[in-house]
Amino acid sequence: MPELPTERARRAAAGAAEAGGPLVLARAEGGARVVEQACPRARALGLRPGLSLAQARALVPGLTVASYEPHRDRVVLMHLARWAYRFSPAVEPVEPGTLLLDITGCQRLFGGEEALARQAVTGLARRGFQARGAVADTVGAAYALAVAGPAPLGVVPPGQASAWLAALPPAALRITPAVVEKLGAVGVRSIGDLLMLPWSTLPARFGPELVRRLQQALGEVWEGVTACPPAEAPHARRSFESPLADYVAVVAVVEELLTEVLSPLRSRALAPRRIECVLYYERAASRLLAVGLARATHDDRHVAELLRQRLEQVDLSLGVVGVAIIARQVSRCPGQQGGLFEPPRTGEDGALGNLMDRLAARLGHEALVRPRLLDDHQPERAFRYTSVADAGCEPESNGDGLSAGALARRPARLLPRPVLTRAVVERPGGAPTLFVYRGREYRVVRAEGPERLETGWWRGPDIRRDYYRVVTDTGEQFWLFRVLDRRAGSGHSIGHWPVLPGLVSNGVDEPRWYVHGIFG
Amino acid sequence: MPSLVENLPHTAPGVRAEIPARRAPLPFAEEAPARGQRSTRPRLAELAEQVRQVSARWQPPLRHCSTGWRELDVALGGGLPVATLHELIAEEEGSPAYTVAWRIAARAAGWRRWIVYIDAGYDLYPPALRPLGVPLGRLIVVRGIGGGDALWTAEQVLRSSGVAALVWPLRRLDAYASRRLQLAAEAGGGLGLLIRSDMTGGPTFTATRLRCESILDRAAARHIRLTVLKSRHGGPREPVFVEWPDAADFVPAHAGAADGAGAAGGGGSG
Repeated sequence: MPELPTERARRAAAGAAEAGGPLVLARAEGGARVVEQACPRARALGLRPGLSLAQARALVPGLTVASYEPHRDRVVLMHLARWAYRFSPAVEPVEPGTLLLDITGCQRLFGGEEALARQAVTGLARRGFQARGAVADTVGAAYALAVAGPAPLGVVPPGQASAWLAALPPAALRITPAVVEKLGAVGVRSIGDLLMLPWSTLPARFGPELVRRLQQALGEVWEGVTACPPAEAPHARRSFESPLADYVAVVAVVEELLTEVLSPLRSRALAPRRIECVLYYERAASRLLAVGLARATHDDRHVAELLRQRLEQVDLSLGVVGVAIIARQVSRCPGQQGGLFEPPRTGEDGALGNLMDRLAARLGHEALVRPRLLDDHQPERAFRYTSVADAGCEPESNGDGLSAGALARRPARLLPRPVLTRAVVERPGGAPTLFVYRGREYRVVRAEGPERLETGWWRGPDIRRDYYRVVTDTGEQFWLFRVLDRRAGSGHSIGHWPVLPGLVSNGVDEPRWYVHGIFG
Repeated sequence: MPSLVENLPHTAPGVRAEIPARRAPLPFAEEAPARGQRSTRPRLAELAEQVRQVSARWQPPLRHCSTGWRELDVALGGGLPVATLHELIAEEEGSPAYTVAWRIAARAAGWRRWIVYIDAGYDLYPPALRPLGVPLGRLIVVRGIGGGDALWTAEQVLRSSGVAALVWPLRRLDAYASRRLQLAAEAGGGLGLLIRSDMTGGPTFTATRLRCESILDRAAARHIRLTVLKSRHGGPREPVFVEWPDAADFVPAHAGAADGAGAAGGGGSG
C-alpha cells in the first residue's frame, strides 16, 4: 500500500470535505515544517517530499496539510494485518505499508494464487487503501514486483523470479537510497544490469546489504514471514499426560490457571466480565463452562468459587485431558487497594453483585428479576419483571411517577392464575355472601366493590371483571371477581389475561366467581 | 454541639444499639525493638496480629430492627435483632404475616440496601408493596425455584453482606435447615424473615417466633393479632393488637428512600 499514510490521513480529515484534493503530510524539521509525503494528486502538481511547507503552499493553493504520524499508520497497518488473517495464518506487517503473507497451501481455498491476490487487493481497496499485490517464490521477489511491477497485480510462476526481476529497478530490492544512487552513478538501471556484475565485487563497493537482498530475492538465502500473532483473549491452558477424573485435582488446576490469566490483567487494571473454562476430553467433545459476572471484579476467589460451582455439576468421570481458561469481555476495572489486616471490604452493591453471580450460576439468569411498576389499570399489567442480567444490580429510585393511592387497594399476593370458586350470591349482581377456597368455606361479613376492570379493545377480545374485596368472618380478606362476558364464546384468546377454565359462557347465564388475590 | 455527638452512632431510625461495655487496656506492652534489628517484616506481622486480637475482642453492638409497631417492639424487647432468623407463623390463608414481613423489611432497608424475596409460588404482587414502604428499586425477586435450590438460595442470600432482609415464605422448616440459615445470617448480618404455614417439623434455631393472625372486632373492623411465641427477650407474651396498615398511614415511598440513605450513611460505620 504505497499511499497508506496519506490515505490514512485523508480518512481522518474526511470532515474537511477534502475528498479528492491534494494532500501532503508534514513534519517539523528544525524550525520549519517540511513535506514528508505527498498524495498522488499532490505529486502530479509537483510537490515532492523534502519541500518546505511554505513552498508547497505557494505552489498549490488550497493544499490540505496533515501531520505525519507514523504511530497512527502503524495502528492502521496492524488492523489490516488482522484483517489479512483470513487469507493466511502467517501475516507480517512491514512498515510503512506492506503486508507479507505466506500463502503456501492457502491458495486452494481461494481458487488459485492470482484469485487470492486479487481478493486481497480489492479487499484493501474497499477499505480505502490503494494496494498493489504480487505473488512470488520469495519474499524479496514478491516485494520488488509489488513495489515496481508493471501491473498492480502480478503473479510470478515458480522458478521464474530472476526473469521477472531483471526488468525492475534496483530500488525495488529493499536497499537504502544511498546504495541506489551509487548504483545509478555506475549505470546500473535495472536488476538485470546488477545480475551481470560479478557478485564478489559488490560488497566492497555497495555494502553487504545489496548482495543479501539479491540472494533473498532469488531464493538463494531463505527468508521467512514472521507472523505477528493475532489479538487473542487472555487465556491459559494446561494438558495432562493421563486423564484426570478427580474433582479436587481439576479444581486445583482451574484455580492455578485462573490466577495465571487474571494476575497480568489485574496489573494492567483490567478485569473480565465473563470467564470461560474449556474441559477437553479424550474421547468426547470438549465442554465449555461459562461464568458471567455482574460486574468486572478483581476478586479471584469469587470467580474461582463460581467456577467450582459449575464444575460440581459436570461429570468428570470421562477423564479430562486438558483445561483452558479464557477471559472474555475484558474491560477496565480500577484496582482496589489491598488491606494489611484483612481483605478490603467490598461495598454492599459489590456484595450483591457477587451474590447475583453465585445465584445465576446455579439457578440461571431468568430466575433473578427486579420489579418495575407500570401505569396500567389491569392488575396483571401494573408491573413487569426485568431480569437482573438486563437490569443490572444498581439500586434504583422509586421515581416511577405512580401515586401510592392508586396502588393502595391491591393484595400482596396475586395468584398466578385466578382460581374458580363456588360462591353464593343473595342479591343478583351483588357481592357473594359465601365462597369456597381451597376446600374451605368462607362466610363474607363485609364486601367492598365492585371495581370494574376491563381489557382494552386493542388487546384482543374484551373481558370485563367486577372485583370485590371481601372480608370473611375469620378476619381474612380476599380479592374476588365475577366475570362479565358480553359476548358468548369470546374467551378463547385473552392476551395477557390468563385463560380461565369455564370462562366461556355456555348459554347458562350464571356468573362465575374467581379468587384472584389474598390480602395477607 | 453535644447533640450532634450524641447522635453520631447508629442514627438509623428503628435501629437501636447497645453500647458495648468498656474493654480491657490494649496489650501493647512490648518494648521497642533493639537498634540495628534487620527485618521489619516479623515486627509488622506481630503488630498485625495484635490488631487482629484487639478487633476480635471488640464485638459490634447488637442491632435491632424496628417492626414499625411500637407495641410489638416493646413485646420483642426493642425490635427484632439482626443477623438472625425470625419465623412469622401464618396458619390461615389470609394471615397478615406477609404484611408484617414486608413492613419489617421496609424498615430494614433503611439500614442496608437490598431486599431479596424468594417467590416459589409466583404470587408476589409488587404494586401492593409500594404502599408498605418497600423500596422496589432495591428489591430482587428469585422466582421459580423450590426444594434444595430454595434452601441453598436462602443460605447464600443471608450470607451476603449486601442484603438487609430476606423474605421467604416456605411450608416447613426443620432444625437442620434453620441451623444452616441461622449460621448464614450470623455471617451475613442481615435479617431472615421466614413465613411459615406448617408448624410440624420440630424445634428450630430461630431467634423469634411470631404468630400473625387477622381478627375482627365487634364492628367487623380488621385488626392484626401478633403473638410472640418465642424471643430472645423472654418466653411467650400477651398478644399484641395492632392496626392493619391502611391507606391512612402509608409510608410515602420517597420519604422511605430518604430515610434509607441517611441511615445507610449513619450505620455504615458500625
